[in-house]
Amino acid sequence: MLDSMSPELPFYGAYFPSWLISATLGILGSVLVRSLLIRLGVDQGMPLRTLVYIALACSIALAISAKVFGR
Amino acid sequence: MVKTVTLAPLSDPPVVSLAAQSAPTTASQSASSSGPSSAPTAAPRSAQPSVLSPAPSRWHQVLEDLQPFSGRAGLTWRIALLCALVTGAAMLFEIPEAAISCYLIIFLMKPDAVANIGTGIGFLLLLPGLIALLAWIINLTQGSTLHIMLAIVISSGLLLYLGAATQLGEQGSVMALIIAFVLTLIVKAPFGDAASFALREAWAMAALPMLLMIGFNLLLGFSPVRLLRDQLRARLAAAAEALETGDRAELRELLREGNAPFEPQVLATRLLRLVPRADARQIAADLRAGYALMLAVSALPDALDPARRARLAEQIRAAHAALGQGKAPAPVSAQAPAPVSAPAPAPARSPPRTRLIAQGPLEDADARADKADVDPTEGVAWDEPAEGAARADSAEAATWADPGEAATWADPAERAAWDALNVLAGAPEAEVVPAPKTPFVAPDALSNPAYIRFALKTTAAAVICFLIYTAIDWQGIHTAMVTCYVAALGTTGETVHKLALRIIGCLIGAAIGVAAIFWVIPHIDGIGALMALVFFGCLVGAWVSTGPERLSYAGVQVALAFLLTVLQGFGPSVSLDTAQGRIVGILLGNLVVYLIFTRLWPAPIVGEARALFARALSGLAGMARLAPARRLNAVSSAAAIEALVGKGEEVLRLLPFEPRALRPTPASEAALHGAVAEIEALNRAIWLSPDPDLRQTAEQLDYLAERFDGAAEASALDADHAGSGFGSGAGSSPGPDAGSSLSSSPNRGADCSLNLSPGAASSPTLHTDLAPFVGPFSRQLNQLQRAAG
Repeated sequence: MLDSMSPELPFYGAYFPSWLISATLGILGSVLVRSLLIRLGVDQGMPLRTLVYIALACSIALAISAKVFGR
Repeated sequence: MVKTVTLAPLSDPPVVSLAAQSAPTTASQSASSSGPSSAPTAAPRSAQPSVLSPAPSRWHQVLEDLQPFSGRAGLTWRIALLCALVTGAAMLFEIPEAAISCYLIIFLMKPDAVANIGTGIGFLLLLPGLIALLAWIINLTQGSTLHIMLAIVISSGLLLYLGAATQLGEQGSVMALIIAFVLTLIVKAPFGDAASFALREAWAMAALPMLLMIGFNLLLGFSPVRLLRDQLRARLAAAAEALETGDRAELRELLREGNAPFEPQVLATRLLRLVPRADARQIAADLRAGYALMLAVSALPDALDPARRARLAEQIRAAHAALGQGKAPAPVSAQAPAPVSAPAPAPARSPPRTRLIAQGPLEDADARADKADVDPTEGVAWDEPAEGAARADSAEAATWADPGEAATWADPAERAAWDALNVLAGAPEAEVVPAPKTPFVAPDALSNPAYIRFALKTTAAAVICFLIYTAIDWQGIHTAMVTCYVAALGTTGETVHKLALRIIGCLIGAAIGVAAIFWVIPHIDGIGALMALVFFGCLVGAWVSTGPERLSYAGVQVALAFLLTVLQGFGPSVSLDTAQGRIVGILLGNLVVYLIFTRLWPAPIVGEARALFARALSGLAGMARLAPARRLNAVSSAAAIEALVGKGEEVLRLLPFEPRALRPTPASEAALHGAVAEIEALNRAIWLSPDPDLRQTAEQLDYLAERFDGAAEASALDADHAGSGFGSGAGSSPGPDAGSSLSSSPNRGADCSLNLSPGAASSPTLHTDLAPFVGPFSRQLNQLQRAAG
């Protein structure tokens, strides 16, 4: 399994690790969900907003990591 | 800092409503008008505002700047904790130079979490670009030392010029510093692999603290909403205190911050939807209303009936308390009793107000906007029937023809204060008049030689330091070159002041670090203990660095010197080389910068102060050109002017740091301090003035602004003369100590008489064509004209 630690995706001549891609997508997804919730008016009444969105970003990132990259 | 205000109303009836602010004015008037007799007594204390008020000594000022204020402790422990975390992470991942990473935190972290996250993201995005630029420059130089030197000179000259001539400011210097510093390292190791390795490590050094700063601020940062509320409460408390005790020190301090620093926070609140849209609008209105309230309170006449003063204070306290409990302040009209001596306009205007307030929070955006449009006209309508006679009085009172009659309800300042309280309670604010924007590139960027001179001076100092430490082959003191970039500021006095802060901070920090090396580090055997040591060391530095700007840089230095001494390699280290090299490096840098900035095109502080006053005066002219109904709404302009004037006075306070040959004569210095008070008084008077046509005043103000600007250039030329002539004086007063040693200097009188010559030569010619101004505010305008001459 050692080779699974190596950089993953070739991108403009460099290799990017998969966790970096997952994390970025997780953060972007969380921002997207927030703008959606603002439009629906849910965002205003939510308790512990910051934690909720950080948790959301983590779950999206982990889900992508598990589903797309298979680990 | 307590201002004595008892004199003002007696000696100065026409500006009675500005009495509090003009307390310094009257003092300076007496100083300048009585001329030679009082000037010598004012002279020995030089730039101390002692001419104007019993100002604190430098030492007391330092102690005062170290006092806790709301939010200071909170920010301090956050910075220290973050530094400890960065240290731990750097040790774990073996990222070199943890001290520099911590330094970035201390230097960049502000109270506002959103701003910090923005800074962090910005750094992460810009770093690759900067690295690419560096790699390109390094490739261009092809490893030749001569080419590298050339690249340093060109890049730092260009960036310093950009920083000085645009709004980039010190960021230009920081960029120049980074590029020059990396290039000097390349001179030592001009191999491709080493360079790319160094660049990668540099990226990690900067990216690690930025990532941690983003995460930390997400979880533990201060939200801008909370900061704005705290700021509003501080403003209310200061206003109430000024009303109750007459102590306006705090109020002045807050007024001089201006409103501009808080506008990004309002913007972030709105754009990021930290609160619902209606609340965001209220926050924006509160920011302006809070400032308007402070300005109005500071402009209240001293002759105001104590009962009404107390009522206003009581209402402000009530709003302060309500905000503290997280509620909106109660509507004003419910509590405001009828005025004592005048027909009662308050009940007359209260019904519509309450109606608006009752509906205010529930209305949607459009309806509120409609109301806001209606409001100004309605406001006039309320006033008319109830106080026809009172209004006639107030129109007269507003010109301050008769202070006795000014004590009606509708004193413009008192009314503005109550209006501001209304807005705080949820009443819609009148149409906002934004402040004119500062252009990104200074208008005189190409014509004014000062910017190029600054770039050349700083570059020369940096290259000289680099050559010196390369020649004696002591890389350990490379701090000397860094010193040149960070200490270089526009004027000589400011530069010397920063040099003093740097050396004092470095000595204190190195002392703490050396003490830790002797007594603490030998007992450290784990990363946790090292992090605790960093935490406590950074607490000291961060406490100072979160304070007022005149001291904060010393705190950054304390922390940096401490960290560089303590954090060497990956693990505890007990070498004293770093501390020694750092102190020697800073001393060398101090010496070179001091010599260059005092000998080569010295830029006197007076020039900078005059330029600031000129900008404030043209801002005032812009305000005077507005229609009277809109003038009151131009709070942002008034705040910008106040901030400019405050900055002007702040730089004037650095005068003792200037070499004596650059300092103005005591008389012209007193006149400049007087100008501060006059511009502040004019600012309030014009803001509140109901005069429909102030175009004449505006033109006079523009003329005065030109006068101040023109004199700024003239005094810069004078300084060239003075600078070339002085020389023996510099040896006897080495830079940083010049300020502290001057009061004990016995041959002061001789210096003063020497100083008189350039001023005396220029002033008679200017004074001959002085024609007194006529029209509104002529007293202040004439006073300013004398100060400009």
